[in-house]
Amino acid sequence: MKNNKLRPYIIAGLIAIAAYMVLLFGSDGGYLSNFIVYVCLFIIASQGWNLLGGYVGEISFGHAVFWGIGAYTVGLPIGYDLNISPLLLAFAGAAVAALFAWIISYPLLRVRGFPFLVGTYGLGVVFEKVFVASPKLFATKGVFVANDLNRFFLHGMIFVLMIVVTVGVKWLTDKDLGLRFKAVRDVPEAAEMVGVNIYHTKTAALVIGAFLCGLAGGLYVLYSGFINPTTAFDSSVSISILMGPYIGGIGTVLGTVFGTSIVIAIQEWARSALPFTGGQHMALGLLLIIIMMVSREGLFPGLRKLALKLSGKTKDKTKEKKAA
Amino acid sequence: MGGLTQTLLGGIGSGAIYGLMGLSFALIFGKLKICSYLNGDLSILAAYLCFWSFTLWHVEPFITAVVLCPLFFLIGYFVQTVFLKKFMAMEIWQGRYQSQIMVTWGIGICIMALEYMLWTATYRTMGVSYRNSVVRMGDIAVPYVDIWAFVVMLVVLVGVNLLLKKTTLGISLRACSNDRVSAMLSGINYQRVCAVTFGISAVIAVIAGLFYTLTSQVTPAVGVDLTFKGWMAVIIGGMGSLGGSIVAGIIMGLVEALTSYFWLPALKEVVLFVGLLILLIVKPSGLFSKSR
Repeated sequence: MKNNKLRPYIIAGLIAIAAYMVLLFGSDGGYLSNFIVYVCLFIIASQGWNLLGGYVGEISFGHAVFWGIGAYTVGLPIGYDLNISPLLLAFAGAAVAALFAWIISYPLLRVRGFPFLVGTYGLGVVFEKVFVASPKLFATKGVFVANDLNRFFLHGMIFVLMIVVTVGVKWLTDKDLGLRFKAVRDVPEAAEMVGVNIYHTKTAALVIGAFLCGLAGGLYVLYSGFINPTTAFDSSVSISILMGPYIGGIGTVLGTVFGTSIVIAIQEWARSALPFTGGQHMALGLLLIIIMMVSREGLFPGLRKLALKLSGKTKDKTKEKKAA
Repeated sequence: MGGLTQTLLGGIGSGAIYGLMGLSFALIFGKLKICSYLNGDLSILAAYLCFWSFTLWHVEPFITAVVLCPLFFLIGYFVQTVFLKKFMAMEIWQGRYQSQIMVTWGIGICIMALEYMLWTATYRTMGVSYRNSVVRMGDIAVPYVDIWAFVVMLVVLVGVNLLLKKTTLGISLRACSNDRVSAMLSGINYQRVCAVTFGISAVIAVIAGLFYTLTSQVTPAVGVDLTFKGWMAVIIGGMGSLGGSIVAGIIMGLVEALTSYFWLPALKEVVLFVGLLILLIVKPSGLFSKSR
């Protein structure tokens, strides 16, 4: 049963890898493969956000903080000319982000809802201000991260990591932990009654999510070769991270993948097609409003519901409604 | 000593703006459990409209604000009836907050984008004649605008309280706040009450925006900042207590002013936020929350 469930994902992944290999070696690292790498990085980060925002239901406007911590953990030692392997640093950055998330969960996650939302946004502002104001952290100059990693190797690694993370999140949320997440989101009182510790469950989601965001941030620095407070902590990074799950389908793994691809594609498209300031924001804002008004759960569950409706499987539909 | 007193008075002046923002959120969140994330953008839109009419036609910003109040009341009414109405019937745990936050935030982004298109990202300063005029008390100089902000904030607070206590609308609003179903059974139009309340909250946002443009420079990105400062005031003030959010706003203004005076102005938000974290550890329900 379980194997049957996983098989489509594995086949889809293999096909995607094959297609990607053809594309990568055909286009020798041009605009398109850069674009694919950014999409993959944001998918990793969005899966991290989705664990907390989608499965547990605590919206965070500041996952850029974990992204930025991962990025600067890679950037600072290289900026100070310490001789440490960059890939090791990327994973260390993820660990530091997870540690920071664990610390920050104590004040923020004990109360449901708003303190977390406002607090995470505030964290983003605080980190940006501190990094801008302190010359020892390279202030607004930023760090140029030169490394001798093969770009093709990085491409491949980021892509494989994206698939591993997606499958891993799917596996994790199908297990006991995922059920706990959903229980805390939907009926916290009942969850508490059967012995689920709400605070610990939320913290677990936040820490795993922060690990993924930190990893994505660190790899982003290795790939782009430059980091400054704006690309690390700005609220536009948080927006890119959290918009994907909302548009694709909140609380679904594949929806996040689709949604993030759409969001990054729109951002890139708006940069060239709507050259005036604000065009990008306008496109994303309108898309968000339309998605929320038409199909509140996002594009992917909405389309699935529509397909079920058209094929006349009313039984499955009611079953899904109960599950959701 | 004069410098410190001066700083404190300035802090109260800017705190009044945060208090007004907090009040506009506390009114709809505390009473009706509607979450909005666009009031900050609405007030910056109002600020830009004041700026526009002043620079183009030399209209006094206070007069513009009087005209803008009904207009923004209609905008708030429209937003609630068109975008938020379908989420009001949901129970809170069904993701009602999430939907409301994301819709209002999307509208807020669109308003911000519109401002970028119309007025670009340049910082705008409104050059009214009384911007720099002050009242002198000994060696302390208090700007007129700060005094006005404080007085208007008190007037708005008293006005909202009177509205809640004395008028039919206020009584039906409190009924909806206590028990939605019974209120609807006794013939109160719940959706209409929500829409009118959202409109009033938008009007309060306009007043905050007016004073923001009189005391600071305006750029579209400030809208999100004001939104979060307002929510911060709501959290510090205890999740929906009206007076509490006003006091919390003034405390925030004082903290910012004192940080700028004793340390770096660039770090005032850092101190403010660390203070919020400490408060959440010590007393998660906020300073003035009603006892449970």
